[in-house]
Amino acid sequence: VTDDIAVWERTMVARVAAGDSDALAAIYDQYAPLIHGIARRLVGDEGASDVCQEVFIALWRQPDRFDSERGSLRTFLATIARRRSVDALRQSGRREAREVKAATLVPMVAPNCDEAALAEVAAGRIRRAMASLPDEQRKAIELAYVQGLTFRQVAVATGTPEGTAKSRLRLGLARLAAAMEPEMTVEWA
Amino acid sequence: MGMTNSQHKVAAEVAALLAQAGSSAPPADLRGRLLDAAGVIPSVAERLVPSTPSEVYETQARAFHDLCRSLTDDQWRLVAEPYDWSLHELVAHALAGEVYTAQALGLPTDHELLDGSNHLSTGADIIAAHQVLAPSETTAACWKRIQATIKNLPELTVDGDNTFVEYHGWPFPVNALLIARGFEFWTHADDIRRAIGTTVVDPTPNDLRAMSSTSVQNLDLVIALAFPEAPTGTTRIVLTGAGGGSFDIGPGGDRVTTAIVDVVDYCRMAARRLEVDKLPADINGDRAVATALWNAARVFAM
Repeated sequence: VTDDIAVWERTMVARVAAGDSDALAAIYDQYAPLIHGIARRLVGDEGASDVCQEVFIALWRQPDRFDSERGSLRTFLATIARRRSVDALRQSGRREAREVKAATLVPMVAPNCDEAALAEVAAGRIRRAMASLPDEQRKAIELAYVQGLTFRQVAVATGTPEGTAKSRLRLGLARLAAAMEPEMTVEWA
Repeated sequence: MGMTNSQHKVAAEVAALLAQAGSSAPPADLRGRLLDAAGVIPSVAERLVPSTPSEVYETQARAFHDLCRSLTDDQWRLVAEPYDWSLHELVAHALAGEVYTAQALGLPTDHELLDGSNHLSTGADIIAAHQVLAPSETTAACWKRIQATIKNLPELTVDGDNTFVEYHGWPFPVNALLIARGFEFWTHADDIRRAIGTTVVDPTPNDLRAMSSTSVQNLDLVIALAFPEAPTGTTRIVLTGAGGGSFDIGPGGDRVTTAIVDVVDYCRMAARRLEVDKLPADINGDRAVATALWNAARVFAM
């Protein structure tokens, strides 16, 4: 599945470079909720749309800055979103805590998640399960799956070797899966 | 701590939910605003400055000549597939093509007016005459003819998009003709490279942009003139890679086909060095329309 996504991302970015607006629309459809979510957490409702649009326009202008060897398109766009959000905060003078939060990649802890979004995806159960994880595992999972960082970037952000970061992710997911399996199995039945 | 298969499934689901947990739906009108904004910002492909017709012609002709000058006596006798010609005869064919081109452009030549009804047989007498000469003489004659044309390019291209000449029975703008000749030199240079076992060479992105856009933008006209019965419909052709671009062609109205293909592959297909059914194109929609376009792209290649 990961390979399929990587191929899809490379293909779409190549089409964007060729000037195919359909490809830009497809990428937007795939990642706009994530990008808008990042921007919303950092700059609030008012500025989130502008940041979101800027992120995709940046891709349109310079798709060649995306290097699939260095990470996923998802991560690339998320990184731009954080930078643009910080820029927006600087411009508006509302930096302080939010800017520090973005710059240091402090993970968004589950209680700060948007409640409506969580409700939408039935993530309340995950929040409870996440709260039961050891801090280092929860942090690694949030960086990877909420912020969209690669294994390598998680390692850098947490100041650990890449192998340790991977291990924490694997252990954390295993714990989550074990904790949630009965509920989810029932749902799938 | 290992995971059971069932736990792996749950973990995948958890990962997906976590990714979604940080999401929030953007305003409904943002998608439209984004696409409107992108519509007025030139894409990477559009920002690439295409080579001028004169540059394409001169660059590719010079590369062909330089390659010819590097060939050894043994290599001259190799077969230039897909033809039956030797490499020497291929260069004589290029010379004949240059003589015919010069005559079409109204330039003086040392030859009687050539019959352009068939590209491959045009200048057969020239090819025959050069078979008894040394390859170096044919190469020199071809280069001399090219240089004479290059000397006249500034004047020829003053209004090169609107000045038409007849070329193998087709009305050709002078600029498009020069690009077509550059395209042919590139194709024949690769024929030589394949024959001697070296790697084929892609044109520069700037040359590719000029070649590919000229080719695609003439497809409507070629379809109308050469394939009036072919299925048509508004089509987006997306040529990926440096030198490509995105082109909306056809009669207008709702799009029926989107065809995505690498720009170099498209050019090789147009040059008949890659069969239509082997072209690695991603086609969404009416495949018959795309096939008709590919066939139209090959009309000028022999």
